[in-house]
Amino acid sequence: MVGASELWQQMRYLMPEGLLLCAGLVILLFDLVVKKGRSLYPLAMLATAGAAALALLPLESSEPLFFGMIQSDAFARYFKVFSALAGFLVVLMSMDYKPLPARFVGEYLGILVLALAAIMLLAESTNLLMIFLSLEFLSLSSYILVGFLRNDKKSKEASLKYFLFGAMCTAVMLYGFALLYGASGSLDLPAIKAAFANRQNTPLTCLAMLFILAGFGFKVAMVPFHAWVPDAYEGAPTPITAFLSVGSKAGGFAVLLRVFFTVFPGLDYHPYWLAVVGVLAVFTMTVGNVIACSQDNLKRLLGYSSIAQAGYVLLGFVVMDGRFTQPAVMIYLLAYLFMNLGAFVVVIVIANTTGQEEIDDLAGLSERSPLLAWSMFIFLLSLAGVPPLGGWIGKYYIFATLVKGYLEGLSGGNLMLWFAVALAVNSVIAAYYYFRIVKAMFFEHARERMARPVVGGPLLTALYVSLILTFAVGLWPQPFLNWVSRMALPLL
Amino acid sequence: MLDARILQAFDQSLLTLLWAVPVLGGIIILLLPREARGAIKWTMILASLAACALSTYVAVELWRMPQATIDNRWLFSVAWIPAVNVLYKVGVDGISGPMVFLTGVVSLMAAIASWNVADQRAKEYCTLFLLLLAGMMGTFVALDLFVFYVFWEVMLVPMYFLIGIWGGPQREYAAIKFFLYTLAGSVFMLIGFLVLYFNLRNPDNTLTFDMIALARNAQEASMENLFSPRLQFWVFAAMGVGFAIKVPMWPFHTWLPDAHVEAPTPISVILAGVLLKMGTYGFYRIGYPLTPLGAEAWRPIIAALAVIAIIYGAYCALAQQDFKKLVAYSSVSHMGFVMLGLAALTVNGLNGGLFQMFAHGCITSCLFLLVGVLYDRAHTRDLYAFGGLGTRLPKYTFCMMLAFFASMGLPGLAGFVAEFMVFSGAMPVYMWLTCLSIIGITITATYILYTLQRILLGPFNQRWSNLTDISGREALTLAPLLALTVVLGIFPGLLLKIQEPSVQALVDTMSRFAK
Amino acid sequence: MGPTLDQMLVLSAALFGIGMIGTIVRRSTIAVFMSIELMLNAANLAILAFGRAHGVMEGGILVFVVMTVAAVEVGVGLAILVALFYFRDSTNLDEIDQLKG
Repeated sequence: MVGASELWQQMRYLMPEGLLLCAGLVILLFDLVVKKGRSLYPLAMLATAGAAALALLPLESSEPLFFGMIQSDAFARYFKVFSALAGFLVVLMSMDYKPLPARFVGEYLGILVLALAAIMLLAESTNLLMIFLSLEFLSLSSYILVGFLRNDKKSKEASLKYFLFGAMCTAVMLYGFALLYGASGSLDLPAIKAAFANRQNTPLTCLAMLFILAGFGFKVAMVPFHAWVPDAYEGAPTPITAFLSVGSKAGGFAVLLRVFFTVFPGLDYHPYWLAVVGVLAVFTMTVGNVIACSQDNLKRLLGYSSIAQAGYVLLGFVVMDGRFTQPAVMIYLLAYLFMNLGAFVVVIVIANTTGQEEIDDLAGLSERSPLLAWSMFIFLLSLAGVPPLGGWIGKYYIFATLVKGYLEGLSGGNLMLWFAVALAVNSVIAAYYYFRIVKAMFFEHARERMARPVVGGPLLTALYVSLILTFAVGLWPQPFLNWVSRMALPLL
Repeated sequence: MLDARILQAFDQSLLTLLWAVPVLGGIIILLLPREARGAIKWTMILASLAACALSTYVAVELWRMPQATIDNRWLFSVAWIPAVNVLYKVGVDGISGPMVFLTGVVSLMAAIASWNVADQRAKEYCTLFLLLLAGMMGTFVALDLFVFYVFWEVMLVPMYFLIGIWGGPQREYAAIKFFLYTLAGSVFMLIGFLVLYFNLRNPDNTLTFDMIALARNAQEASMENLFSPRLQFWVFAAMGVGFAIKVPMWPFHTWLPDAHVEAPTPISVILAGVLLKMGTYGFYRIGYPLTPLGAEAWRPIIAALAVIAIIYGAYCALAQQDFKKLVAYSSVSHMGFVMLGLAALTVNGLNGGLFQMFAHGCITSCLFLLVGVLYDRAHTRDLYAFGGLGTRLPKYTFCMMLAFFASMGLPGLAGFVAEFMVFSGAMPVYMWLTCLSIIGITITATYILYTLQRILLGPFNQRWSNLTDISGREALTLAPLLALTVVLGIFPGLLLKIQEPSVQALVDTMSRFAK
Repeated sequence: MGPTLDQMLVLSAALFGIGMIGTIVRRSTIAVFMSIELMLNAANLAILAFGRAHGVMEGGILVFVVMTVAAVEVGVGLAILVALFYFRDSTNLDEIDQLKG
């Protein structure tokens, strides 16, 4: 049995999420006392920045912690840094987001900071119980954040839809957990792997995995569990939309990676599994891209685009090659963090100026604010995967993974080539709707009485950080790639 | 001692400077205030001039070398992304050298011709123009597939804007069509590159994107049956789509008339003069040496498509009423000759193809400039609207006759040398196809003579009585290109000497895989 | 002896199925909430049944956690519903149509 002092020792691995949890509670408490929401922004920024700094400390343990609930390895640390960084940028973005009611800023920040801690916990969970708990922690905080605009019908409605869909997916996932528990006799991921390693699998496990995919697929916005995305994205406060598209998606991918890499190799029919995931990925990106083409609302468009991006990342899973899949997924997510948050910064500025978020509101932006227009252009270009920007490095890795899988004659090798072709075709479709935005910004002229957008300090900082890092990942990817490959899961 | 080191450093950075100087110019422009239009435009022209001077130096030095092969003193390589084995590697030889020179000259002319276009949103125009120049130079000097791909794509973006913002009435449609077409081609090209990357390992089992190493590995693997013909067939097809769209080969040419017609004059010049050559250059540099068996299998198909392009392009040109569209379709037809020479895979064919790339670059640039001259004054490109300009505009007439005759392939001008070499190279290989392509020549002669007649001869339309002749600036843009056309028509050896060793080496390599 | 594993699993699957159908068919938000609860409890039942079959206890802990989380979930869900009801005077999903999806 593990003693109390040893548990206390293990606490040091949980410093980043500990800090965030404390900060979240302190913010909520302060909010009760001071009633001045805006003064809490520095505290939230300090907390997220501090969590990022703590997560950067090389504190790792390959041993299971807290009775096997948690494994605070390099992989988890990567997602801790990721989540804290995303949180920092989202807090910056929230500062100048006008529709946010000032009275409730404290609650908003408190819940946001707690949600970040949930992502961190999700990334390091190695037990089905812990996975369920942290996933629900993240989901519940997200439901509240989506419905945060108290006087906005859309926000409330988005929240309800998100909630209903999420609760359903969670229930299905839990049933999957139950089946997996039944098939293996344990909730512990390594134990489940060991149980599967030396015997034939039953259809029961197959069903279990399908059900579990529902829960994770919901978080990453995989088709057919994507239905909530457009509505929740449109209705949510824009910084929260950005958070959902980057933060909770990354959390979903983290847990998906961990479950894939620990449980799947033991399954004797895992090639079929990968084919299923691949086909779902192709559906995900195709559905996202095709529907995005006809969207006029920027947030909805970026929502469908984020479905499509989830499809790209999922394709990275298909090969299951340790040296490629993980770096591919992780570097893609890193680039995606900066380019997508950057795009949402511009959306916030536009919404602050015109009160809406339609593509038309961007008309003639290049004349009104060249900085914003060109930044948005860079982010969209990166999302479209055009070199030499961050998104391109991510997409390159996905392509490389698929081609490598094809050439090495892995099971279903020919399928990989078709996946690569599907990705290629989808890249072109995606370019079409990203360039609809570009067209509005550069080729069209501003309507009368369209004000010049004003970008305040916090938004400007977020914009520059995203811009510089989007370029950095693309032009000088070596340090990022080194970092990512060092942080990959140890191959079991 | 110090001098030698400086010289070596200069040699090693020369090819980098070719694209870095325009980028630097672009950065300077970004720092200038929006209102300083004169300074902005002069920066663009000076940067283009510097790039042109450097490229001329490269061409002259290549000519002075006894053997202009790739392993010359400019070859430079340094690790860029070691995690994925990407090198920043640049070099020139007889195949890319002339293209670099062509890019330098045509871009400078286009920059000068941009003077009026660039008045509108000067800062954006000039930056994008220089970015485009950097992308083109980079594509021609890159010797690493990854770097090649990056430059290839970098070039796309400024082109999209240059057509979309400064173009004609249908500019938005033309711009997005160009962008999506080329992007579609290049993503498949990327899949092809990746297959090569993972399949052609170095002898020490490491992976590389280095084109030279890959070519060597591809040849060895092909000899030892390690790189199956079936796979090569598909890899060549994947990369070929990317290149063919750029050339453009029939049936991928539909973006070209739209883009050319809608683009402003200087951008049409760059499109036709340089961008199209990237497609054919891709075949020379990557398609052939890296997938020799695939190329071997595709050659007859390429030859057939080339002949279709020659005849079809000429026919379409014949039917045009729009002067610019006519020139655009003539490009489809003329690029067909390059592809025919490529498909023949003889020394004469390949040499002729390369020569045609250079000649067409000069001639078509002139034609587009001439269309622009007329359009700037008359604001119409309707061929039937003109007539009898020959007596009123003597300088214009002289330039137009020269350029059109060169385009037609009149002996003594560069076009003739190129077409003659292509025919003599292709005849022994694809006799019937080559004979068929002669039909294209006849149609070309027809539409060119018709056009000359419609614009220069016949009764003078009084509507144009106040048309002025070519201005000094316009003459400045036309003169060097026309001079090159004439000089290369009389002394083709100047260019052939640069090309010969590289072409010979390519033919030698490829002949080992001929059926 | 109580019910066998098979019997319990059939019951759990039936409950899960009823819940699933309920979430899809019912138009009243409250009924959908209840259906989701049914699904969660079906899973709980399955976990307990498997736990007994394997003779391990950890499933029981998960069930406790799930029950707690389910309660929280309902709390949040009802709060959202009330907030929306404030605007709309209806809990019928067909009438919640401000957003396109």
